[in-house]
Amino acid sequence: MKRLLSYKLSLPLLLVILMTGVLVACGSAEEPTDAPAPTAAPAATAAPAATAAPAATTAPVAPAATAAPAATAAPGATAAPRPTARVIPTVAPTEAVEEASKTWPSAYPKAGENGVPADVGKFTVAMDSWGASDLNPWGLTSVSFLHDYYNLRLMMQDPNGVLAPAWALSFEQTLDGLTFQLNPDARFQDGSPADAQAVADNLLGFRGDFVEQAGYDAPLWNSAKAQELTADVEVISPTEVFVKTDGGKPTWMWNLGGNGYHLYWYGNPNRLMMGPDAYLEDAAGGGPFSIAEWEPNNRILFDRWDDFWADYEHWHKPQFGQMEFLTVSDPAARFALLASEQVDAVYNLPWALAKDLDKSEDLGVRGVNPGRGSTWTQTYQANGMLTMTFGCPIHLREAARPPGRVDEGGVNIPEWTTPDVCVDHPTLDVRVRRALNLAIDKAAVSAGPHFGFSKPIGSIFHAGSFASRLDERVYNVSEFNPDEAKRLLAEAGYADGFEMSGHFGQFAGRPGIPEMADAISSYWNDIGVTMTWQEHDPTDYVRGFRAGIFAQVPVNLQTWGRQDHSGVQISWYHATSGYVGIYNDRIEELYWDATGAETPEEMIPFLHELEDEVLATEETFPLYGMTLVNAYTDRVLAHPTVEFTPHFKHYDLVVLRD
Amino acid sequence: MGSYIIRRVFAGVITMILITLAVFILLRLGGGNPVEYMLPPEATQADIEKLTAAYGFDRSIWVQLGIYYQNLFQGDMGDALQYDGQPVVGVVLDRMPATLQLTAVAMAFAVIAGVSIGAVSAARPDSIFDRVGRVVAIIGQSMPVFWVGLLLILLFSVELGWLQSAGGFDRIGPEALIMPAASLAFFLIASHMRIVRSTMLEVLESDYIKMIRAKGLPTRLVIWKHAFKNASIPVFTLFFVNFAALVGGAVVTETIFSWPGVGHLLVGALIARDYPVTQGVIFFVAAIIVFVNIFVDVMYAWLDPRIRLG
Repeated sequence: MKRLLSYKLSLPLLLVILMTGVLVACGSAEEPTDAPAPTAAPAATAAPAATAAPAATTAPVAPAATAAPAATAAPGATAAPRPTARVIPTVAPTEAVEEASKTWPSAYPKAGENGVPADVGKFTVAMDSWGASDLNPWGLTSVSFLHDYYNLRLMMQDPNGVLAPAWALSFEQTLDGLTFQLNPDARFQDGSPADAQAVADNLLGFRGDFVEQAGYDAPLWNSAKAQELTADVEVISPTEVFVKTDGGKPTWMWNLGGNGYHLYWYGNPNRLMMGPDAYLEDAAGGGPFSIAEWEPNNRILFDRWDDFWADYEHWHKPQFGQMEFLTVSDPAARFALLASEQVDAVYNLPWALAKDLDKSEDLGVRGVNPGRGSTWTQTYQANGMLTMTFGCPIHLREAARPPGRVDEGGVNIPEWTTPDVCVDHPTLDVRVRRALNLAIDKAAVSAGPHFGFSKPIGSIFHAGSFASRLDERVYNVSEFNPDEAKRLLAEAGYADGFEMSGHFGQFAGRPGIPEMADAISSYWNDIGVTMTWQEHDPTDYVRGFRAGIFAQVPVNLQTWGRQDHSGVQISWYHATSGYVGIYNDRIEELYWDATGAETPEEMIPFLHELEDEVLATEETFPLYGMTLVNAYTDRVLAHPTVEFTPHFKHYDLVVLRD
Repeated sequence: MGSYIIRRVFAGVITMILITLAVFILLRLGGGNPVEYMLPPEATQADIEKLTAAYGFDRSIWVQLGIYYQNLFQGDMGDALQYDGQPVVGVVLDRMPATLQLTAVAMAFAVIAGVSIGAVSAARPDSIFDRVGRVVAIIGQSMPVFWVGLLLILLFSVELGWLQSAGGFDRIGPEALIMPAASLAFFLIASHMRIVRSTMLEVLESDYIKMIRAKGLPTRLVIWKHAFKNASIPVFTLFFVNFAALVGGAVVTETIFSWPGVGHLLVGALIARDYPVTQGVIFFVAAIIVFVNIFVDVMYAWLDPRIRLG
């Protein structure tokens, strides 16, 4: 019995030792998910015919740029870096030269030239998120930026932000639709041609036409938008395809074409048609990388496709043989990875950590290693904006409308009901709203708690956004005038101030919101308004802005992403938006005018007028435009990429030291 | 004994049903439609409606619950909303080995160190070793796991450059386990040490130990052969409770170290409002906890027949 008891009591320790050994051995047996080669490439099942040829009466739009703009001067910083030495600008550039130096590609080191190696090993990036962990472009549940590297876009932005060839060499847009001329060299990694039929199959896939036909149970998240934007597709020749639209669709390229923050990526239809499971075995896309290892939401390892067909200055075979992305959601852990040189780059470094690092835009050429230390940064703009919105006026306005309305697109406008807090609320008085805006020193917040990384803004459209007016609106920031604010409050009958609650959420990639909320509380306290903020879970917060709900009253800090195209962004200033800002009848009318314009250029006056109308309500006030910091180790010589972009791009263009 | 085991297993099944029911309802307590949470602001009303119907979220909660249980009893926990719609069971099981690796190594660290330090401290109460051990225990139980993890990264990755801090076994190799396991174990060492020390002190004061000492048995044998055996019973309980808790509770550690386990998966699923995956992770973790509890109960009943008779 004694021996038995002894055996029983030592069991836990034995179990620990055994389990440790077994589990470690078990884990180490896991194999990387190298995908097998495809076994068959079934023919596409649908090739719809267009019902009408494109009209030739309207002017073509935005022909593709075939070459990057040439620089007019070579700054000191353009000297090619030596592989073992840091690039140190030896000449302080004049203002004109400095401006020219920021033009890609002249100021950027190139692989294989001037001592920069032509081929290096692996490039590793740590990021907070890459969007949805979905590899299948026909089954995306949200935007996923991984697809830029292994799938296709029809056109793309070059690092200067200019629309440039990708799968398509050029396109023409008319009232009837868009005609794309494809690159005849384009092909997928399984050897199949990336031709016009592949474009057609993808567009139908985006619409959800293959749901319940090819093993797809549900369409991708924005299939309804794809249906709205694409009526039909006609294959004209292997390198020419016509996309029929119902009238002018000026934002087509920003949604489906690959311009800016696009929402769709084009995969290999041979693989996609085999169904979601087979697709995951081997995506065989047309981009510069193939997927070597995939841990959803955690890590992806790409292998360079050495036979990549594109050879543009802005899109070609990458310098490095492998590229690895790691998701590290904790910002301190991301910074530690950079500081210990475990990764070459970090996407979205918090402002507080980035403030002391060398900024390439201040020290020479944005995106080129200034060669002054072990780490350096470049900053993206247009990733987000913060506005302060007073929700009670729209509640009262909309609740007074009759039920059963539909918008011009035929979508039901939800019924609004006024929350109790809005009845007789001080913010129904425009003088109070104006006073509250005047009391905020936006420049001081940017310079202080935002460490200079935010930009005070006077526009609902970000700098760099299509149709934004820089001097008239963007940089025309409302004044800080607490005396006038007090006078207005007194005039409105609130000389002693009042108490109010407000709402905000924190979103990945949209920094500085709590700091702004704290600052607002302090500034408003100075004019007698006592503020209590309520922070919300971000997705819950977004849901609170559905039309008819608009739960965040009387005041909220509303944040907007993807600031690269105001014509896309206005979709939030109308009655049936999924994320409502404020609107009235005139704004709604202008929304439909703008989205019904024939070309992007024709949208511009409508966008300007819409913005003027929004700001004239004094129900929403722009506070600041956000930035994101990309940080690099000294191993990275350059990362040419778009300055005004809501997310990371062009990692395939990074140039490494060794 | 057989009927006792059957009773415990039956109770475990009921517990699992109640847990899945609670999770299913709690996730939907916020009201509304999961698709609205899942989709980005760019989604149109038409997109929301289309996807809601495709996922079946337009049906009543009771119909959804019925379908969920019907599928669950057939081993089908549905498809993930993201992860390319892969079956939830596969998505969770793919991550489980990484979590079990981490948990097992952390527990091994904790038990070996905690038990040894606790036993030696008890054998030499108020010695320097004992005092230092107690201070370390307090520190270990006071410091948040994420803070310990960051300090380890700062020391061993940033300052010394000895260890890599992101990725799992497959990416880095065995060294990947050291820092995350150590940060988890730091807390557990303290709890194991404290319980071993206090139990050992109690046992060492008991009459049978005094009698053994009086017989002249060497101290080493008194402590490790006689006292430690009886002091091990609470450790046995603590070990399994901690093991089960770690399987689902290493969320923060897995996040900091980008460890590809179920904790990291759960965080991603919650952020993405991926209800099927969230339910799946909780189901598996709950199942492990329930199983471990049944196992401990049965072991206790085996060790002490009064338990099963009672």
